Formats: sequence, structure tokens, C-alpha cells
Amino acid sequence: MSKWGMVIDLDKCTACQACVVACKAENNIPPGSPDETERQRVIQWMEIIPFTSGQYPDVRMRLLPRPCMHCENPPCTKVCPVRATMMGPEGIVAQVYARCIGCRYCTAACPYTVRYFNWHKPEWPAEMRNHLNPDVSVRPAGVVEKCTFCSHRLQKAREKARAEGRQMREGDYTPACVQTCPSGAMFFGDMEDPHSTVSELIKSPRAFRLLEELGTEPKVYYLSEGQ
Amino acid sequence: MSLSRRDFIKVAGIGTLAAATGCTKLSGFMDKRGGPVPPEGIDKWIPSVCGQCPDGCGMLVRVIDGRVVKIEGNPVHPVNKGTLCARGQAGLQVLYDPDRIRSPLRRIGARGDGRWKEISWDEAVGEVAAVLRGIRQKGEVHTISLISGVENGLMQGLLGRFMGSLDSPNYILASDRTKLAPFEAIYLTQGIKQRPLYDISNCSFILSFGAPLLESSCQTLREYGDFRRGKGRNRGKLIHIGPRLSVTGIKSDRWIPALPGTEGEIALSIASVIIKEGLFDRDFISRYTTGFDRFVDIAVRDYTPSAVSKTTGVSEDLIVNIAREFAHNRPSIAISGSLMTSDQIAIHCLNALAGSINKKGGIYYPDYEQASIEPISEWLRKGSYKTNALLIYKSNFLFNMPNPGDMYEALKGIPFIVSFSSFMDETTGMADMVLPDNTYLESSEIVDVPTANGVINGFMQPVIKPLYRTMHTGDVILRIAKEAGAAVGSYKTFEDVLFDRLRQIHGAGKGYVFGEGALPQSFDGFIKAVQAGGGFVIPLSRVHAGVFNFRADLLKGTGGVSHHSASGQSGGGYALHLHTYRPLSSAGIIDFNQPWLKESFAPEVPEMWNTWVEINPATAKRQGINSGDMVWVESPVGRIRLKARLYPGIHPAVVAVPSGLGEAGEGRWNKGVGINPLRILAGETDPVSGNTLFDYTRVKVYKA
Repeated sequence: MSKWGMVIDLDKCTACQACVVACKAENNIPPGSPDETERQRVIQWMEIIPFTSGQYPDVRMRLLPRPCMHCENPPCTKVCPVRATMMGPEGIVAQVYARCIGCRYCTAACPYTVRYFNWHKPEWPAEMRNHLNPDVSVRPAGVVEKCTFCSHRLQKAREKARAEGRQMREGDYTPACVQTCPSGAMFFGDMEDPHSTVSELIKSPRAFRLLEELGTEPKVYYLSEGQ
Repeated sequence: MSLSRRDFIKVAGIGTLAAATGCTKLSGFMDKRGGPVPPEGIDKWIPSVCGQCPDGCGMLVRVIDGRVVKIEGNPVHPVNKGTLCARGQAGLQVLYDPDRIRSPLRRIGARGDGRWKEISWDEAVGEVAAVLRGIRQKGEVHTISLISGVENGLMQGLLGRFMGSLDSPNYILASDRTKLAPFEAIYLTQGIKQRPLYDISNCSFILSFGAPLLESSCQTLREYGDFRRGKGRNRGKLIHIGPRLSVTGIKSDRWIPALPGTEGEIALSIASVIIKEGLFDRDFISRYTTGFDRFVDIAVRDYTPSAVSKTTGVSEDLIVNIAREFAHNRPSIAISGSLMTSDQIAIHCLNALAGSINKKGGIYYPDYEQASIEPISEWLRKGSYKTNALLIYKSNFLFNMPNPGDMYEALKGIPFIVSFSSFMDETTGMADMVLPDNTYLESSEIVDVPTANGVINGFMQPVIKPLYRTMHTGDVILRIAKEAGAAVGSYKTFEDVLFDRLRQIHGAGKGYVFGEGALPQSFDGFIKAVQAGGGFVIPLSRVHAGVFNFRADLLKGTGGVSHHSASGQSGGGYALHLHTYRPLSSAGIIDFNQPWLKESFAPEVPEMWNTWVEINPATAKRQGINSGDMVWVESPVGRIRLKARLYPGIHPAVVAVPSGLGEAGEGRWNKGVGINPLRILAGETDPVSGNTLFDYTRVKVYKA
């Protein structure tokens, strides 16, 4: 059984935000507005988070692309009273919108703040409804949503491999953010396969995970900047 | 089967590369709390070229039953190799922008009132042609001007030929994009007008003097990944010198704060160390340069690290260390943005010292003529005679130029203004007639991009029919030309222009189609391959770099060019420098009515839908300003009210304001969102080139 994971090389990342926009286009995230922003209700499954340390002139900043970590030990699934969120057999932490009662326990439990509540019915100007992706369902008001590692692409890749009568290969399944990354800073693949690119990359001494001390065991790894 | 000309550019019906696949069933549930259910259908992936900026990245566009659903990079396109930046990804919001212009318009209110009447294409074309014909009959063809924001592609040449057939010399190319390279310095030191290519992928050390490496071009983004962690090479090192910790600065190994206008001095002090310690490329200097002795005199005499350290605040040790690193880690590149020419030259001389000219990992000059871009202010100055008709294509210059007050005045005096824009922006708002263009997903073009591996010619083809009553401006121009009695060759439609070019390429027989070995034998085969692959590459030679002239006469303090040209305005209490910068999200974009990009405006500052001013915390404390306060930023030209953000990544004597927001016009995500800081720029010009200087305005900041 595969375990899907991601590696983001911060040394190659240019903080261009292609991943951020690609995610919105792929996953039917409606356009925001100043009002929603003011209320901190903008939905960004993938977000660039700035970290500042030090003071002028010795100030250092880091820009960190942050998708869902798809923790191997996810705090969010444990608090859900209706089993609307759970980790699938291949390690993807999924949300079942039809079960979600909107209690937002998961949103509070996630230490990486990757879960978003739909305060309203999502809305698009009529013209923009045309670009909605039929592979991804539009979420109703009152449910929590999050990064899915573009799991609809996994379904498609699997169907395609089956139709061609072969096993899945590396590169068959790539989330939208990884596919578009201009500087090639993002990698995706099977962590269970010892020869996959991601398995090789996480052996690097530069590899780290966010808030590792919490024991959440994220399946998103970062490679730090510098030598 | 032979392709008829008529079928050719009529919406690509050719599903390519990816086979049509059925869609996965929706698994979610939908009730009255839910949004629209996306309709399913059979999908096609159609290759074309991104039009959000002039870089010419190849796209694969997913189309389901005439709806454009997703844009990805084209994996066989040599420019972007399957990737796409944020702007490219947001292209769906250009096509489906609900506030696009939907038909030809005639102004009915006063100019700039925003009252329009929809008219037919025949009416629109006829009227424009009649005006141009009238001007020609009076023998005043020189009073017809055309301002275009398009740097490359066949439209650029076609508009030139159109103006030629009208006999008007006033075809002005005015790109709205931040310039990445120091064109002036390269021309003055090397006599080369062709655009340089900095070989970032193979370079070991980059010394950036405020260059927007990661804030302008998609090509650089891709090369940056190779520069840092490419296969089979050591990690490249980047040092960024400039007033602000930009994204390039954040991703650099070290940021060195410097006041605007001191970049040249710092470069010369680095040069003085390299010369004194004998670290320069002797072979290159002796064989390919002139004026070195005079340059040595000036650099070593006037710009010692100790002297420059005193005037710039950059420590002596640091200057010496950077000089040694720059000289030892070859190939190394020194690169600047659009600084003063004297500063650009000082910086570019470092490339000669390191022998980085015409070298792998250094700077190449592809032998490819591209139209030269002029600052729009140049047109104003040239305007010693009256303009009777102004045509505007893909340029919102009123938004992108500093202090546009004079330009508004100039436009008021022009009796007839036509805009071909797809969007109602401030410049189009001043027009008498609007003849709206298709957006790039509905359009055709061949977008040429010179690279080290040849000229990449991306083939833009319409992926869907125009959504509204818009028309390819190429077709419109050809119709106007004919009706005005100034037909351009025998062309009837833009398709003729495209075909002409493709025949020429196929006839020459050189190059290859993306993803294929060589040019197919038959012309039909060539066309089909180009449509399926997304374009073709033609070989390109390099300019013989010739002699490098150190031009010590144009350095500061030598040719009557004074230090800190901005210091002249420091009277009147304007104690701070104003630095404006354009984030990548809006760089080169023609209309920014794109909410996804607005939400991702600048990653280093988590502020959306608003323009802010960045102030160093120490400066803010002195002025009693707290984060979030509303403040006035006032220059001798005007003042704007902005939210203060304390930003530790800015020189204490500088405040920074991002540009890109504050567009006027009809876009619902533009209206009332942010403020354009360019309107308070003094608009000073460079004493050598006449180019507008963006970083030489002084301001004061106080609580509102």
C-alpha cells in the first residue's frame, strides 16, 4: 500500500505562489473579497506563511508554503464527533462533507491551521462558474474543508493505469501545486517506496517537519535553505 | 487530409497530447446550502501560450464542452517545461472576468465619465477609418500616434507596418513591465542593443543590486531552482544589495541594505578591491576591453572600501569579502534593475572584471532584434506638435507611469482616442471609442522569446470561441487600414499574417517543432505538428560581443553626474526616500481584476486588498507611528493615505510602497482596492538615457 507524501525544497522555492493559485483553480475555491479577508475567512488550502526573525539590519525572513501536513498521527480526526474526517489507507487525511456537522473541533485541533470553515454558500459570478472543475465537488455552507493532496487526481491516475493494464508509476499522480511549481521545488510520491524521489530526498540532513515535537508525524517534509 | 485555411484558426478543435478521458463521478453531496454543481463532459487539452506577461510560457488548457476549466504548463515547451507561475494559473479569471468589455463602444458622456453606447463592429471600424482617412487627406499623418505595450509577437510587427503604411513615424512601444536588465549600460559599454540573457542556471555567484530576479520573469523562477540545486553543480550563492528586503532579498544568502542611488558606489568599491588584489580576469581585460586604466584610476582612487563605507554605511570588511567572493566564485554575475545609467555601468563593469561576458554561467547576447521599449514620458516630450488621433493597444500607461498628471492633460488635448483594450481601465476610460480585443485564451499569435538555445516561438491558438462581441485586434487593424486607404500588404486577416510567418519558417527549413526532431516535410504536417506541440524553435547565433568599454566618463562624479540625484529635493522636510516595487503577482499584467492574484499579492507581507507603506520600526518609533496607523506619504508632487506596516526589512531612511493596486476603471476587484503610489513619484529622469527613475522621489510620512 502506498503512503503519499510531499517534499518542499525551500532552497529552490521562490515564493512565487504558483502553488497557491493552482490549488484554488483546481479545487473550486471561490474568489475572495476584502470583506471576507477582514473576517479572516479566506480559504487557502495552500498558503505562503512568512516568518521573521532578528532585527534590522540582521533580519532574516522565511517564506514557507504550507499545505495540509497529512499527519500520520492526525489530531484533527481524533476530535471529530461524527467521523467526517479520517485518514485513508494511503495516508491522505480526507473530509466527508456529507457527514460534517460544522462543529469545527478539527479546525481548533489542527496545529497547522489548515482547516477552513465554509461560513457561506460558495459564490461565483455567473461567468466564473464556467471554469469549475467537474472532478472536485463544491462544498456547501456549514462544513469544514481542507487540502486533499488532490486525491481526485489519484483516482484518475489509478483508473488510467488500470485501463492501460499496468501498475501506477512515479509521476502518474501529482497534486496541482506540485505540477505547476516553476522552480521545481516541490516533490510528491510514495513514501513507502524506498526508491521514490521523496524517500531519497527526506534522507537529506536538510530535511525537517513542522512542529515535529508534537508527534503528529507530518507527511509533508521541508528541506531547509542554505548549505 | 489537407487543412483548409478557413479551418485553421477557428477554435482549435484538435484535442492533443492527453487523450480525452471520462470524468470521475462527483462523490460529494449537494443541497440548498451548496454552490453550483460543475457540469461534466469530455475534456480536451489544447496547447497555447500564456498572455499574462510577455515571457511566452506554453500552456495546456483543459476545455470541457467549450468551457475552460484549468490551465497547466506545456511539458514540451522549452521556456517553462510544464510549469506555470501564479499569473499563468489565474488566467481563468482573465477569460471569465465578469467586467470585461463585451462589444465595441462609443463614448456618449464627457471624456472619462464612463458613459458608453454599444455599437456594431462595422460602425466602429468605419468611424475609426474615416477619422484616419480625414487626417491623411489633410497631409497630417504625423499627427497619428500609436502606443503599444506589446514587446514581442507578430502583432508588434503588424502594428509597425500599419503605422508605416499610414506614413506616421509615431509608433511608440511602452512596456508596462519592470525591466530586469540594465539595457542602457550594456549599450553604452558594449554597443549591443540586443537583450542580454543572464545564464542564471549555470552561474555560481549572483550579486544583485536591487534586481527583481524573483519578481519579474517566469524564466528566472525556473532557472533559480537550477542555480540553487541543479543536478551536477554546486549550490549557487546570491547576495542582494538594495533598500528593501524583497522576495529576492529574502531568498538570498545575505541582504545588504543600501540607499537608492548608492548602488554604483558600492559596485565601484567592490571593483577597487578586485583590482587592488589582482583578482580580475587579466586575459579578458587585456584582450577584450578598453578604458581599463582610467577606470582603475577612478575606482581605486575615489572608491576605496573605507571611503565608500563612510558614505553608504556598508562595512569595509563586507565590501572586501563580497569582492573576493565575486572574483573567486566564477562564473559570477552582477545584475541590476532599472537604476540610474551611471550606477548600471558601474555594476556592469564588475561583469567585465570577472570575465563573465559571453561565457557559460555569465551573460550572453542572442543575435535577435527586438523592438526597443521607450518610456511613455518620452512621447510626451516629443509631442512638440499636436496629436490628432491616438491609438492604444495593450497598455494601461496612465496606471503604470509616474505622476501621470501631464499625460491626462495631454490626452485631453487629443481630439480622437481609440483603445483596443479588453478591459475598462483608466487609460481606456479616456478613449472616444473602444474596439475590444479578445483575451489571450480566445486569440492567436506567435510569441517569440530569444533564449540561449534558439528563438522559442510559442503558438497561441484560440482554445474557445470569443465569449462576447470582441475581435482580434490584428483583424481589426487590417480592416481599418484597408478602409482608411492604407492597406497593409495583401493581408485580409491576422490569419494571413500568421500563415505568412509559418510559411517563411517552414521554407527556411531550420529548427524543430516542440517535442519533435525536425521540421516536418510538408507544410500541412508542419502546421499540424505546431498546433499539437505548441510551437517551434529556430536556431539563433550570438552577437559577437566585441570590445568592452569601461566608460569611466559616465560614472558618477566624473561626467558631471552628481551623487544622489534625489538629494536635490531633500529640502522642505522630505527626509525619506520612497521605494516602490511591483510584486510578482501583478508584474506585466495588463488588468489586475483577478481576485486569486489579489489574495496572493505579496507573500512577504500578509496584507490583502490594500496598499500599505513599509516603515522601519526605528523610523516609525521616532515619528510616533504604530503598526496599523493610517499615515500620509507626501512627496513634492502629492500625497496618499496608507496603512503603516512596520517592516524590519527596510533601510531606516527609506519607506516602501508596493505598486500594482489602485487601478481605476470597471473591474469589481479593482475598484476601491488599494492606491497607486506611482502617482506621487516625482518622475525624475536619468541624465544619460532619459528613462524615468522610479526610486528617486523624496517623501515625508506623518500620521493621518
